[in-house]
Amino acid sequence: MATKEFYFAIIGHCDQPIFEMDFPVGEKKTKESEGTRHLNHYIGHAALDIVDEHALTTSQMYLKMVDKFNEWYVSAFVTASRIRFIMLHTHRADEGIKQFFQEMYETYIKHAMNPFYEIDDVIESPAFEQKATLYGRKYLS
Amino acid sequence: MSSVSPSPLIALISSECSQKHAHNRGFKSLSHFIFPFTSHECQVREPIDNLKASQRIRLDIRDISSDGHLLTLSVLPYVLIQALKTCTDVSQSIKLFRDVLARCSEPSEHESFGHYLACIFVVSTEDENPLGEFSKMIQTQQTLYNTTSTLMIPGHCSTPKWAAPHAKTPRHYILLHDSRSPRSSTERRDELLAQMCATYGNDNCQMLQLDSDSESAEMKGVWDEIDEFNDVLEKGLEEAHQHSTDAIAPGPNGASNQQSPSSPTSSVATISSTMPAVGSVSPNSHPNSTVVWKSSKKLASLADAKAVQAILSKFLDVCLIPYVEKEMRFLYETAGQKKGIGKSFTSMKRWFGSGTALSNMATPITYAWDSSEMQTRRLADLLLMFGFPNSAFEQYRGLKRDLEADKAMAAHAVALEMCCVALHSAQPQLNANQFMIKYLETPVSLLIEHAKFRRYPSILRCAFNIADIYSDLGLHKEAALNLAKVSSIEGDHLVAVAQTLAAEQFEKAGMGRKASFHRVLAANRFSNAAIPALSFDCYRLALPAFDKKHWGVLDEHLAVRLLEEGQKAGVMTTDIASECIRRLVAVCPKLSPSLQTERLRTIVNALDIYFPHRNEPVEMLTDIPKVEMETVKAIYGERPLWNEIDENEHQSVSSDGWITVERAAHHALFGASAPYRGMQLVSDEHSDNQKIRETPAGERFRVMVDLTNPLKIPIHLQNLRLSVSDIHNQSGIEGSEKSIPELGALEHLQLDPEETKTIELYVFPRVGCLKFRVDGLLFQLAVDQKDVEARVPLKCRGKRLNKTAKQQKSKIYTNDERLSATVAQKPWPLVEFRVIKSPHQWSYCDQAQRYQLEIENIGHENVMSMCLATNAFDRVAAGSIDENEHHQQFKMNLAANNAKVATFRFEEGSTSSTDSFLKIGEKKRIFFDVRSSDEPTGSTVAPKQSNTVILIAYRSSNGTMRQWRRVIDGERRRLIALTAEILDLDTKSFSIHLKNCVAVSQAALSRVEILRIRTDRNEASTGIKNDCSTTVLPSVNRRVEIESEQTDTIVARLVPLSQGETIKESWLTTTTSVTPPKWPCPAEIHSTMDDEFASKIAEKIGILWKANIVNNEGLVTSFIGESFIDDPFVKLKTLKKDDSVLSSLRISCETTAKEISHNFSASHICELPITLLIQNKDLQRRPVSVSIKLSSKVREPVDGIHLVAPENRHQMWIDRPVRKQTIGIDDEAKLEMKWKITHAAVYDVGGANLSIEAIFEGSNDAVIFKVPSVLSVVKSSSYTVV
Repeated sequence: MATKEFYFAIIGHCDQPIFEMDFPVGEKKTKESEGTRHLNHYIGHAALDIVDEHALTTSQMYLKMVDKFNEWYVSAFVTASRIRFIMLHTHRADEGIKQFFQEMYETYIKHAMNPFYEIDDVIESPAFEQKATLYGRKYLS
Repeated sequence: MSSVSPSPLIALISSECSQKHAHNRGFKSLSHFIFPFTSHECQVREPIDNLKASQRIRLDIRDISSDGHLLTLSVLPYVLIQALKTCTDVSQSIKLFRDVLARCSEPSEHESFGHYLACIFVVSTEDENPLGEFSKMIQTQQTLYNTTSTLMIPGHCSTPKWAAPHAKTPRHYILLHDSRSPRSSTERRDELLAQMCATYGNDNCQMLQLDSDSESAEMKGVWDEIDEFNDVLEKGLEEAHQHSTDAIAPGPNGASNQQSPSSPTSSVATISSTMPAVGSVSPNSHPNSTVVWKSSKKLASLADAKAVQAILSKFLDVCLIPYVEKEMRFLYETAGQKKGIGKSFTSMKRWFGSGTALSNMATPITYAWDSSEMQTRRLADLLLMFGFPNSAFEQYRGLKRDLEADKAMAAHAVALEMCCVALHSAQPQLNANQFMIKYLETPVSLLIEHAKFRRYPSILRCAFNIADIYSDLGLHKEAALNLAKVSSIEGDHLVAVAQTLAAEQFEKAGMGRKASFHRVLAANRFSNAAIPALSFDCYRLALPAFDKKHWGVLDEHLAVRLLEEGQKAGVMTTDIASECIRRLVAVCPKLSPSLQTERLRTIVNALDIYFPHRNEPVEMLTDIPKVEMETVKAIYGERPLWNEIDENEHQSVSSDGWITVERAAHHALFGASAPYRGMQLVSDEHSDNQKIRETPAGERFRVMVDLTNPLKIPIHLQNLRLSVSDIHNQSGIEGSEKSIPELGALEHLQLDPEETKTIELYVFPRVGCLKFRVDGLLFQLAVDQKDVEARVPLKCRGKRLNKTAKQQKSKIYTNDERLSATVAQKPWPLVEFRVIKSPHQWSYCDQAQRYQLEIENIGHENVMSMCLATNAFDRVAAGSIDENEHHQQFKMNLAANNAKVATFRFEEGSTSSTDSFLKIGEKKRIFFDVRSSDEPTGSTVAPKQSNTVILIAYRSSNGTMRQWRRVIDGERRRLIALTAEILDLDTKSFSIHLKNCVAVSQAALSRVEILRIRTDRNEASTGIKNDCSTTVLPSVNRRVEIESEQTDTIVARLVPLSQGETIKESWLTTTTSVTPPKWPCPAEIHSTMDDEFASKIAEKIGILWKANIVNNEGLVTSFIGESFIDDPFVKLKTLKKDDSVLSSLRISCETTAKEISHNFSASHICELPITLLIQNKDLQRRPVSVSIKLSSKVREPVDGIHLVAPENRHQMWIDRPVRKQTIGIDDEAKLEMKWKITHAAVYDVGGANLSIEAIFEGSNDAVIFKVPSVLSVVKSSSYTVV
């Protein structure tokens, strides 16, 4: 796979995705990737078992690469409130992913402090999306 | 059948007559017959310790001529797939798959499993020359040693391999005697047996006698396992044959049909990695035997079974075991003791793979049969097969090291696998810490790497064995990961099996999400392998892991795949189908338009296929279209019409406000003592819906609801109607057609993408129906000429309760009964109200808003009485209009229940109480005039006034009633400003200053003419009463007209009325034709909530005016109004009575704009200018020194913002905190100040933020005055408006 691809998801306490984004943003999906678009969702969901296992054994929030399936690596970050960030990537970019997770964690905290936002609700804020896009462009390219 | 340790393989060669006996007894072959009786206890001597041990050994006896040997790699996949297709349960299928794989797959070239250890020859007493048959069979066996020989071997089988050379292979001879045979005789039997013993030795010959001639109940189910296997085998072979003929058939000129259809196996080419192709047909194959053994009864008794067991037991004791013991001893002495030291390099032969597909693949190394490595391997295999796993483990361990050193990685991997198997069999009690886990880690990877294109059975067997050991050790995750490695081999069905087993292991490891993923992967592979039933089963098992997790894409994928595979396999259940449809419906709005079209088609197809004969419409289309439950409105009866309902009624008037007015109307119609029961014609989310309301029989009960299309494509709905339940009827007409309410249907409704439409449907209850409930919406969703009946439940939720702690902590809602109704059996009166004349939406202060209505009785009941009730008790006049346009005013009465509600009875003047006010079909005209409020919209000076409510209620002779209601609410602007000033107290002269407040720029013409001046006093006022009545007389009778921004002054005096005189008004014009409304003047009602300093004057001076406005667009309007000011003399008297100085200063506060937009990101501080006007009106005519001070709301330091009340948290300060000024008598001081604020909010720029300290001349005491509150809204905006 020539281009670097990333799929970022924030997973709630009931394993439900509360925010998802593909990087690079806005790139037109090929017909093939449309056909297999569910695959990275499956990989992300399946990796939660490993993420939970790792989270129990370490006090670190950033769990590095936890799983792999075919060409997709899975890196994870678990917040203090046990919200899980997962990143599927086709190329190793540990430092960039770590920075991205840190920035997104701060953004998520700010979003979660909004009194109108309830934990585990789907994040539909355009500002949050903009931030994710910005950090994605900054750290994942 | 499958076991971790392979079984010793024994060849069986039989004569034709012997096979015939087996067929006659309902068996496919002799090996089929003896299969269940092959397990035996026997004593075996271990070669190393030279000790005998009792072992249970299961022989694997194969009839070479009939069953054949192991399957070739080209045929095996068909049989394996057939094993998977046998049942729809994936676990059962995989169990059978593993059995078939273990029984049919060829052995690896690095092991001695799958090699025949001995041979059994069987002849029958039926044979012409049994001893001759033996000779032939021995010759046949000898030919089978030649690898190119095709004699006897079915075409789909690989050539048999033998563990020893022909001369050394132990042989056993059996004479079969079937007593059912007509030609059999005991004499011949004995004679033949004696001849056999004489030729081959007593120990090597046995006689098997079968005596049973009927099916035995005791033997029922004994052959089930082998029957199932044989069935799978036959189907697989048939499919392989079919496949091969299909591959040949498409020849261009039919030349390919050279193969005879009667020889199905001949066309199946053997493509074995080690064996050359075998194309011949077995001379002994019986094409029709399949039919025989499947359908016929199995004629075998317990005695027969015991006879077979005895024969095999003797075979083991006298033939096989001694041979194996000897062989093991020999191998141990030659190879086993060397333990790798004396590895014979000379005997090692290497063959380099010639046809490897990949150049980077490790070159496979194989060993000659008599090499020391193979001898060690043979010893280890024999030890394992004959129950010595511990010794076998030692041999395997040494061997695998040697092989690894030789870089014979495939052989090493196979040895390592068996090393693990032997260790696990020898010491099953070892746990994960004690077991040599490292042995388990590499075999599968090594085999995949070094043998993957050649030996998938070896890879699979290895993966299964290693996973089983891992699983037994409790390492389920490792077992799963080990199985998942197999996904890199070719063959979708093989990978699917491994993934399914991996999923099971993940499940056992508690990793449900991984398990579900591997199930999906397995399902996909099963689908690719054209096994839809197992694909469906895997998807089904994966489904719960994604339940209620809202992974939309995954839900959609699973649902679509399940529907597809379920349809292909024909195994779909309604439960799964409904779950799939539910998930698709939920996820559909999130998809792209093209996918939505496709998915909608899928949903409708699935509904059509799986729910074709449903009695009830499906309730799965809950969101297509989406029913906006909060918009549900129930309308009880034919009126009001849908366009007469005020959507924002609840914002204007509270429900209590409505009840007060309704109650007043009720008492006006029925008398003060009649109990009020409420009268609700429309129920929506803002009304009180806890009670079940009444709807009249014979009229429509209408339900309005908004339907939203959540999709990006249009949808078509047909035959929309309501679903009605809980129908209660009067006894006697139960079940009759009359008792069922009629339903109104909407034939067709198209909802464009993401469009919302309001629909109105109805139920028509007839007399006799007492009660019913609307519980759903029925419709047909049409897609591509196909439609499905669907139902969306209609269940409204009441308001949330939050009074008690429990209610606050949890979400508890009231019952909502708006869709239930009791049916009123007596008819209700029905009047149509047509508004003939109504004013503009906005008005000027004190303007007369004049309404004219035409009323017509369109019902079937005479209207006996009618009344108008309003909360604007001091601003409304009502009456009727006759044919001559004569306005007859009705008398206003204050309501019995509330002094601030007025009622007007319309039937005044009727002679008798039995006279109808409005007969059926009769029309009348009525009017009502409402005076607009005297304060413009948004004014903060006057207390907030509730909106004007007009309710007209009417009743029939039978006591039923109905209402028409309207809220009059609109923007108001000031037209004229009035002030009164006393000129002379003795003559009671005073002046009225008039100012036209309409700016020149606002209108082309704004002329106000004063028509009349009068004095009045509202009876409802509770203020200070003036005992003497007066009238007002202008000093000069002149025409008073003021245009935009002009002022004028009228000088008048109050004159006491003489005895009997009632006229209290003076007209300033004589030319007008205006009929002035007879409304009362504003009432002044004191309450404890009022400002203590505000004085209320009941006596008013009313100025009736007429305005002609031409706005800037040229629109001409003409209207009248009446403004009121306090009687100045009464006011002075009141002030004196109060003896207070608080009225000495008139203070007003003004701001430039009520709403200010400010860009806080550009400038952090917003300046808000205000003007403070202070007028000295001291009665003692003293100059005053005032100081205006900023009084901060928070005057003491606080520990945190949370301790400050929210309204006091706004940060605001003024440019100069203290301002001082001296004001002379009647002078006015104008102080301009600027507030500075930092946040967008609503600010009180006057009020408590400012205080005025006044010291009057001659007095040392400071008097504190309040500044009126003025609210200003500051908005954050990208631009600033100055």
